[in-house]
Amino acid sequence: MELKGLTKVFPVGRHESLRAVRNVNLALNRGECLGIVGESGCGKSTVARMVAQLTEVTDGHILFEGRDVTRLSRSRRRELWRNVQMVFQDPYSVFSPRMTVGDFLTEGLVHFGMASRPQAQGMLPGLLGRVELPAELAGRLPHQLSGGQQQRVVIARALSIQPKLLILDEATSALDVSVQRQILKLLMRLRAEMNLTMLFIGHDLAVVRSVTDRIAVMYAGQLVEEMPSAALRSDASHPYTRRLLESVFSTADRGRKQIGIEDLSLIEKGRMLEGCPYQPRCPEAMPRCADACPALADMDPGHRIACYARKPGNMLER
Amino acid sequence: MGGFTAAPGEQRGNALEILSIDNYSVSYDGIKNAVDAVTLSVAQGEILSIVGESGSGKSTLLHGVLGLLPRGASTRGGMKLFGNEIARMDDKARRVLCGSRVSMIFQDTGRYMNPIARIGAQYDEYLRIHGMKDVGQRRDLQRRMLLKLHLTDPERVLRSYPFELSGGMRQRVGIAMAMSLNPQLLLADEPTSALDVTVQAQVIRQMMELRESTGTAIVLVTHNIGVAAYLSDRIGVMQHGKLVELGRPRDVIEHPCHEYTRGLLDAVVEIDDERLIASHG
Repeated sequence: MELKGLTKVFPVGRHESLRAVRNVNLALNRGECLGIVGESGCGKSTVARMVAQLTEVTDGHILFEGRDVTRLSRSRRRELWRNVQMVFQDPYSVFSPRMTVGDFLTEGLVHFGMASRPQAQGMLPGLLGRVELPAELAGRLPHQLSGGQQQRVVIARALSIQPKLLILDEATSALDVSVQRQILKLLMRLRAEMNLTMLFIGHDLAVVRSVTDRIAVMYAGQLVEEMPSAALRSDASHPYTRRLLESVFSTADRGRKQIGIEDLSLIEKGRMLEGCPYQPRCPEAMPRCADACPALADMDPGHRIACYARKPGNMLER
Repeated sequence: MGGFTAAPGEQRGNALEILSIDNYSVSYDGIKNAVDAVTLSVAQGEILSIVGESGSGKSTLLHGVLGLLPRGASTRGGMKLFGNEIARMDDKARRVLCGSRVSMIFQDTGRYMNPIARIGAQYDEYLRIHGMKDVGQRRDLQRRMLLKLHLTDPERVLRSYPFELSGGMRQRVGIAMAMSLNPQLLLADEPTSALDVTVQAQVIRQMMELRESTGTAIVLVTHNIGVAAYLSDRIGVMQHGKLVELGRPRDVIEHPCHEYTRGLLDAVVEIDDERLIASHG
């Protein structure tokens, strides 16, 4: 999967527009797990929705296995959905309240003609077992399951048709910590077993880092840094990524760290600017940051950053 | 009896105790002991966090303090605010108390605002009801508080309707309101859970400043153990309605006594965790 110059503009009212995603370039290799983190409104979910063909692309391209899938006919889109599945934050909202778990789970298989209804029924214990649920649950209704069980069922359904890419959008954010950890472990096990490629989207830096190989940080619609997840804490270099890291409360830093004062009203200003969106908040902003947006450039192998203040001479202008 | 009065004599006995909960239980809607025999007290200027997973009873406990339990809920045991038994206060006395000396912040403060009234009008009414007679003084306080919460254009915020502000901004307005009258006790139910992490950090800073400047005691209910560890003097852990552990953050986190606390701490994904992925790769 490759994203080239991906851009999404939403119209707001009659004359205004909102650039939700601006010129995002990102690649996802087979078998890899890529994380996208950022705060609300940064465009991370819009990227996911564009990849899953749930939102139209304004500009730029999406390549899937080398083929341009940016704008597809309905039948081609269906074909893509066979390979790209998405899991959302609230599992209950994707269930039909009166459909049994079994019917819900087998719907995809039957729809894509991968199994007849009786065949699919026979596969139920296996599908449930894959997500560590007992086969008896097949006859239950969604409200009879706990939140964690519901999310397991949704994952089982997404995986039932053996997609090549699984997109998880805040898939564990609403769960209690102990349930969250179990689901994360399950995902990692499934990933290894099924050689899944995953796009893991979230706002919790620690969670996203813990399950991904690479992590991309978005701010106000733009990609500001991309790096190996393992090196996040030590090597993150963009002023915004550093700020995000400072804002994480870990049980280890009881009252020890300082929280710098920040003018939060500046958050909303950045998006409208031509220059770097973080520039109004950035402690290291320079005059040129307001003029043009820094492009992502290599800092080290596998580590890209969009910031003039970091490697002055090497930053290429867009 | 006859409602709550802040007679100085009443408080002299234990001047430092703001809230004391004694063997307190709540049952409602067929849930027996949603809160199960909890005993704890909060001193002046103290920040106490209660952590636990959903359904542990931590929010119900907080609602009990303000008399916000659902209809039909039955309580047992004692709950004293400033030395006065809450159950024996009449509604009027409790209303006067709540909002001035005690205030509360919810996870989504916007939901408790009137959607068709401007923020300024609601804020003003709140201050007026709680005894600020002077219009100019009220206006002045609103602006000062909003600026304190880093809402740098207070005029615009006050002119806005709730839906015109982002969730984070609304939450900060709610927190500004709750802190306006320098309450002696601030009850906060997941106040930062819906906020972005950088905004959350600012709000936490603000809560600590409030404690420093006015000696407000804070009871914070949260599922974020990192946040609890950061700002609390003591942490309580709840499970199935019971308070299973209570102690200083250092003791609770480094030497948890209860097995449940240990499990909860183990489940937290930390930023420097060994990656989960490594165990399968």
